[in-house]
Amino acid sequence: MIKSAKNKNKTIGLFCTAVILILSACGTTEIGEKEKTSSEQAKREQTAADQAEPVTLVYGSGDYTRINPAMDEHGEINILLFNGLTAHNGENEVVPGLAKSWEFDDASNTYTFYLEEGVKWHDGEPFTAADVKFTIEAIMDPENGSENAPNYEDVEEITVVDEQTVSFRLSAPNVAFLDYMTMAVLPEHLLAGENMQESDFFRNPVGTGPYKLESWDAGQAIVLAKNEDYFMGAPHIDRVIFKIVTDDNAKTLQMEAGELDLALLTPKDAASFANREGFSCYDMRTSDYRGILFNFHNDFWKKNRDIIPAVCYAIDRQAIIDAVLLGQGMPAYGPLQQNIYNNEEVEHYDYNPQKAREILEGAGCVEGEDGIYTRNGERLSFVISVGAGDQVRVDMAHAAAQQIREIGIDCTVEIPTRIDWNGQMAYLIGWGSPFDADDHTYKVFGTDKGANYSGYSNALVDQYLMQARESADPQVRAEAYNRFQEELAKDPAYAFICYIDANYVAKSSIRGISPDTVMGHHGVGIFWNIADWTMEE
Amino acid sequence: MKKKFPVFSLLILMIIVIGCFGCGLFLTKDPRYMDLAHFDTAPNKEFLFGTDSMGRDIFSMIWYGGRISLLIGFLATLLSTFLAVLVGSAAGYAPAWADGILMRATELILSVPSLLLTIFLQAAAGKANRYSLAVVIGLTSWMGMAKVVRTEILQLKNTEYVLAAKCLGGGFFHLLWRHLVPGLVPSILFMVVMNVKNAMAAEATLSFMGLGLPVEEISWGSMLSLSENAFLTHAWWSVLIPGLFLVGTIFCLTNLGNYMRKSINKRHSNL
Repeated sequence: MIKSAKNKNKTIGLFCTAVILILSACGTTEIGEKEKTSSEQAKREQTAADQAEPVTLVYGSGDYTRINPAMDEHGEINILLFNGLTAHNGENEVVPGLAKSWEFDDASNTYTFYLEEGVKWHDGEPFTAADVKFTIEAIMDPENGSENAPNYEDVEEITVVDEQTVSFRLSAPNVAFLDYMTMAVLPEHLLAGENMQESDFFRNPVGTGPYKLESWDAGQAIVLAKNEDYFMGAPHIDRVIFKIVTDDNAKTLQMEAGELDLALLTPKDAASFANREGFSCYDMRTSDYRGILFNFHNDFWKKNRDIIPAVCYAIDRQAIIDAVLLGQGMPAYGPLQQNIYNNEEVEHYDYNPQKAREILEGAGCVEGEDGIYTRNGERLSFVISVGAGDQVRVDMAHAAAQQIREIGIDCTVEIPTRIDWNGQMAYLIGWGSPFDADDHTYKVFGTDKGANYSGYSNALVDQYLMQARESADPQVRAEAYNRFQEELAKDPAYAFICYIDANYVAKSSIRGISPDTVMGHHGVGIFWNIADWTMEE
Repeated sequence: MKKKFPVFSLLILMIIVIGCFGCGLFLTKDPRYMDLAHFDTAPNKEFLFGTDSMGRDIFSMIWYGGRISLLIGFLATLLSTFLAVLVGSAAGYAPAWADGILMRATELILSVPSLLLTIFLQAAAGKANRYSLAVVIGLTSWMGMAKVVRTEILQLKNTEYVLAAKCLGGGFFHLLWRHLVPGLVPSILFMVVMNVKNAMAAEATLSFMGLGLPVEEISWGSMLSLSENAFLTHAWWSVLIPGLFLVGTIFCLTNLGNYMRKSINKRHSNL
């Protein structure tokens, strides 16, 4: 993925938000140190010594042109190479990362983080508070054009108190802030003065994470070796290879041939590995939804925004889930269905072709001889673009397009080699964060925000999202998110289709994958506890 | 020994051709319609050849898609035959030095594997559609025939009736179309038939590799390209059936071509 900073659809919320229960109780809260028992440490060293052959895990990955956690929203390799001040555990709650503890001062809206001592970058330099300040300021710098900038727009001042202490003063409360501090910290000593989009660093990344980059054969494989000095304890698996396999079919065939140890497959392909000796299937829930993005920069939708509900009613979601996902998903009506703030009461736009036609006729459209409606002499006709390589999206787009044609709108599918975000009419989009409700809503549906690729703008939506972000009171937030979802359903930015389960297939020799963690966009998140995985040969 | 006329092959070929072009008359289903409730259905009464992974009826797709496969085969052959006659007769008719240049150039192109050439040209042409594919395949498959045409012309141009037409002031193109081409037809006919076969195979190969027709444009090749998935889902019918039709058509065309070649060779040896 990560073809460029603008490659949005393949978005992933690794560094995003979460359900911060901790904060809801916050005044000045101290969060305890994480446990690190020395006996566990000793055991690990013991097992490492036993295994003479290096243990290697090969993962079937999407392609990377760079590894730039600060600028790009997604990239599941980041979590192996880098750490944030905070991290997410298996329940997607915030736990300490590079910061061993933190406190929040209500009066001044200030977070103070106390950093782990003795943490070293992969090149041996010490990690300090200055690196944190450098990273977040680089993201906030509008000149750098970071996709993550909206997450930090309320940061007013970052102060390096001493080498191991850094504080953030916010202009307004932001409940999701601790989630956003999972952002990978980058080394200032290698990046100061470098161009944050173009620097060579992003092809030779140096982090603090459990694995360090060993070699990168562009378009072929990214080889990571374990970081013996990892501050949370060296991982068990010696090498992790991200083998670049962009095609879904090729991925399945390579899994079949034993060239891969772990891969995210389409439901149809994963089904062929069920109950097979030597393979384990992990069908994981995700917060990852798919929908049709309408591009409001395009003239067609400027003129025909009022027929979008008809498009929403035209989609038979269960039929698509059954045929394309083999039933492994659930119909979608909004962006927060896996979140505690989900509002069930909004319009679901359940499949109703009759109603769709009524809406079209109510809007003054006339059915032509070919069964397609026209409005003011213009045929209702639009094209859904789909990124190449993702078979599930391609199939979904074809199925949805057919259903939309059946209600009298001429809808076709194209698979362009390059996505034209401003010019295209519609796109088969995917989003969804397993973390705080602020993630993948504020920046996706807020007017002119970094990840708002549809050019969607609705003053009420902006207002509710802002309210929800600024309040720590769960009731206020619930109220704001309820209204946000109602408004979004009334004036849809997307025709939501479904949430898709992530079908990971792994060799049974891999132990430690947690099957109950809700995955993020694109099923990303499986590597959150990679340091604890083991592999028996 | 007299070679038997391949009645059986011709019969099958006619059934396929008539079936494809007349499919509007007997098809009950829309080949593009995705019946999502019946994806990957094995052949049964309703879906005679089963359905593919998106619930399209393979029986309808076969006949409908066959039209495009055959169309590409014929169009590509038309183009390649035209080019072959043009280049071959120009070389055969021209003075020795021009003949040399033309033939060396032809051999140069011939020495590049035609599949490679096709892929290059298609990549340069951009997004494939049925016509661009026909043109690209036609452009890369005339060389062999051009050499045969040249040899024939070398013989024909010294025959009395050609010399007579020349003496009466006939220009090159007049001679070519009125006198030379009619003489050529029997000897290149079998190559024409073989070219149809090769063009259809090339279309299927390109589409299978994802370089030919997009999946939405149904042809036997693009149906086969979808079948990559079928191996994993055990939907054998979506591989086997378009494959059988393609192989069957090609087999029949080959039989027919071989028969023609033998009967022509026989006549030549009788000269």
